[in-house]
Amino acid sequence: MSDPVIELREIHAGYQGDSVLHGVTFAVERGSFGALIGPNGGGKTTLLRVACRILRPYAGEVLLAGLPAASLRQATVAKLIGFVPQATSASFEFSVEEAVLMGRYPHLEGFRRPGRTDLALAEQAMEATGTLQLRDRLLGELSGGEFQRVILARSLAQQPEALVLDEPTAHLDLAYQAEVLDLLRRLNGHGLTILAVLHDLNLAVQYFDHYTLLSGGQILAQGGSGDVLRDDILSRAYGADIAVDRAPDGRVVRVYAQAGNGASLSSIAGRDALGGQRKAPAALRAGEVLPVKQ
Amino acid sequence: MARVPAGKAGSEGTAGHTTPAARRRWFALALAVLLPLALVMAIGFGSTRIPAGEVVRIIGVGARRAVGLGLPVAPGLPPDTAETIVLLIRLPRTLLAAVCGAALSVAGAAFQAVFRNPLADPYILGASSGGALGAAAAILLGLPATPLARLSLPAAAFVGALLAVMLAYTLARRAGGGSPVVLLLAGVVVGAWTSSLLSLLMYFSGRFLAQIVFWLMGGFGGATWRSLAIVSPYMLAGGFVVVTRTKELNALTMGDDAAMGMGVDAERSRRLLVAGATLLTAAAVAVSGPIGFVGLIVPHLVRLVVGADHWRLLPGAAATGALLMVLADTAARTVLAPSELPVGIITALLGGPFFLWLLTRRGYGAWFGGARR
Repeated sequence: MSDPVIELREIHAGYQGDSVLHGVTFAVERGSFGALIGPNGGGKTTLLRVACRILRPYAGEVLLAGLPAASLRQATVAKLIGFVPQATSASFEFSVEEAVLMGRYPHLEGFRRPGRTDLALAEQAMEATGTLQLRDRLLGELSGGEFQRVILARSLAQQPEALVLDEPTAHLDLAYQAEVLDLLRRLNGHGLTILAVLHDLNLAVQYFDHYTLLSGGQILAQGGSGDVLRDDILSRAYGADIAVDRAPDGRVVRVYAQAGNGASLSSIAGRDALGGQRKAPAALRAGEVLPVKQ
Repeated sequence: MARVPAGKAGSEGTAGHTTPAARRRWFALALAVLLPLALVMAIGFGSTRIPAGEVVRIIGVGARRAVGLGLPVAPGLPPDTAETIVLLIRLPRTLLAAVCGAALSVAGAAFQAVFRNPLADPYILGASSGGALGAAAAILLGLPATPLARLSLPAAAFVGALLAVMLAYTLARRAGGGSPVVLLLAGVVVGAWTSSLLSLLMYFSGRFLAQIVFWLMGGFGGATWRSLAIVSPYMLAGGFVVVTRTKELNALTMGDDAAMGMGVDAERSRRLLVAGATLLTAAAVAVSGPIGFVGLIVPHLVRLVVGADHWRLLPGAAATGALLMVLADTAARTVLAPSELPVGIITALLGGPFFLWLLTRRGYGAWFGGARR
């Protein structure tokens, strides 16, 4: 069973001397379809950045496809893992095709330009994400869902072994959320390993079979829905009274925070309502954990 | 004259009847025709008008002489006035203007990409004022009078420019993790601070004041073949660093994390690109003084026509920048002839309104506020 694409061992990492991850050991098995969940500031994005070697850990070891990440070139890392950061603003006047072709960069040594093979692979990636008909559009003209799919296509053009996504559904409406997650599931069906940070637990339970709960820079729970999505564990992780309603067959119906007055809110709204009472997450201070939006 | 094809293509937008590829071809063709034409016209223009055909003939003679073919041109005749004007005065001057225009435009494009900031240009980030400070300090120290004079001025300007950009970059990095707005503020602060240091130097500069002021006004008045030779190594080095990194430039515009995800070492690439672009800027500033707006506007203008891919943007910006600077310099030395306007006044006069027009274009202003979806 054990053939991890990404393996983190006793990782301590953070920003400017502050620690965000405190000894995280974590593996992403080949072919798995996993969600990384947890409260704001729990270290999810930091974990992804360490896994993609964007952030160097203070201590610990990262193995990518069994190779020590510290000794790899960034281009080699990019061939192993496609990283989809949180959607930032569309930058400059790139066409969709140009943006997707950028996914070929790790495969282009030195000053080489994308060639015919690269274009074919980019077209495949656009085909898979349903963005082929957008190829001549400019990034700035796209809707949020289209933009997210283009970024996904770019990562696919990298031909990675695993795809690591930071909140691929953020800022998307319900239809686009489903569209993106359906696409990820299809890609996983074709053998691509997926690890995604998801904020919306109710959305996560509809798609994912493996969960990793990260809170306070440590992994609180890992496993299937029954191991992770439990009232007691989630309440501890989020520092709020979280309830999980399950159908008789064990399927999760909904996850929600119970506000003091007894009114139940969706998990997102509940967290916002309680946010003020919780300690401000240390990792959010520097504005570095979450990419600074323009 | 340079604006005609670009402006037309820009107003048509991408949804117009021209495909992006056709637009790019027209643009390349227009530049290929207009740039040599502008060079020849510029050389012919002036107090002594020299017909275009004569300019071309003289340049041909000069070129053959330069490569040592020793053409027997009218042996025994007194030196030809037109030949002297073309080969010793106007040709080097026009070429220097072209080279500086190209360098500033390429540097501007690079700065805009690595800082993900459409307002970034060599001047706004403090490279020009830093370079000016360095040059002024060199003048004040009397370096141009030493045997190393011809190299010391560009070198001092380069060091000043590099220090200014590094200072702005470091401040922004510490304050805001590289946010474009913070960077802009840091650049403004460093620019203002550098300017005040410059004022301080000038206040105490005594008999050198006129020399510094004259230098600060910018222009290609004193251009010689030697000035070209002096800046060439700097510009070649800086230009090489930038133009060989079109992939990195493209990736960096997507943000650092995205660039890293594409296999680009963001920090390292940015440092190198900033150094290269600063080298280009500093070399230009050193021989011509600070000339604003070209480095800001030309990349935007060219991006409208050829798109954001730096593989096309950089050559387009270089050619367009060269063309505009040659036209501006020709205007500078002929509009008020026999006296000469500083070319920076002309670029600012034309550049300001153009930039405002750019801002009002549909969708383009959204660049400044972030997402437009």
